[in-house]
Amino acid sequence: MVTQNAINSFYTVGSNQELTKTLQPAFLAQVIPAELNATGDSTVVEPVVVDSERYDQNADYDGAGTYTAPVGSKALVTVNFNIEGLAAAHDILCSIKNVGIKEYYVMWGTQIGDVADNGGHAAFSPTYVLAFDAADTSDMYINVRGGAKSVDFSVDFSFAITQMQ
Amino acid sequence: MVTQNCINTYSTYSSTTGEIKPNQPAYGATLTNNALNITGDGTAYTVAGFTEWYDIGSDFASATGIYTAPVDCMFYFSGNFYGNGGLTAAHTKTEIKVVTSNRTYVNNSFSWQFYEKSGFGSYFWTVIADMDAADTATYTYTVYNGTKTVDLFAARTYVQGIFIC
Repeated sequence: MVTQNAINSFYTVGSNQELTKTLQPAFLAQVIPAELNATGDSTVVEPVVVDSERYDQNADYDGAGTYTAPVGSKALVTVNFNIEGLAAAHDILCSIKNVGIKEYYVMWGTQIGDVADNGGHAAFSPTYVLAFDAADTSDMYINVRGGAKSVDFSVDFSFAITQMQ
Repeated sequence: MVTQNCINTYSTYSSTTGEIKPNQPAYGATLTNNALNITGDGTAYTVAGFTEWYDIGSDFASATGIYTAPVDCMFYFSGNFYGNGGLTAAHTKTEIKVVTSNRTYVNNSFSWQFYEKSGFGSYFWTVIADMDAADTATYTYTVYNGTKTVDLFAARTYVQGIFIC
């Protein structure tokens, strides 16, 4: 069964009653190639330029780190902060921003020397539900401080939002 | 396209906004006041006393922190519990439980993984729970192996939930 208007198919139900919404706002992007020496010396990075889109249904992601809600909605945000080049002296401040509304603190002052593995690599993957008004935006903020500007954003660094309701 | 009965608009869908379901249950809330000296010695603290950002369906009781499912559903819960000092090297284990009527979901970690050495930092978690109508969900926060000096910071501690299906 397909529910549609003259132009678009909105809902498709498969033979086993799986409902899909292929036009629902949703994107996934990664940092490709890796962004090298982005921070570490208190350099603030916002937005994090996550520039390689894997998909972008409805074209609400600008390909440079910022999502703009097309309508008042709730959306599921998943991030993989995947960072390399960390030293024991570094600590990290990072957040997901519902710009102008709410800042969701992910790490704030965490000693990276305690989080990173011996190769200076750390990854953490929070998920949140963000409430948007139409035209609200969301991006990511990172500031690694206390050491050299040697911190990279790896190719596994990703940013994804799916409009839920 | 609009799907509705004579009273309520349940779901709307357009080619520019995707689907929105403005009456679908969802909530977001932040802790109203700092919670001081609540755990650290193995005390399981039930996190309560919230200020709501939104509560579609009015299923979240902000004073008690109890969410009650209005219907049988799969429900997404997430949150960030932000330490506000008081954590010491003796506190070697942090445990967050989402306690639902059907089962309890346990997230635990070596405390330093998410806290810096002054005891500040984030612990984020996510659960998708199967709930029957009238089932409840609450959150507990437990830090072990030290003294009862661990706090939660109100402005950066929050919980969220959204109806999936």
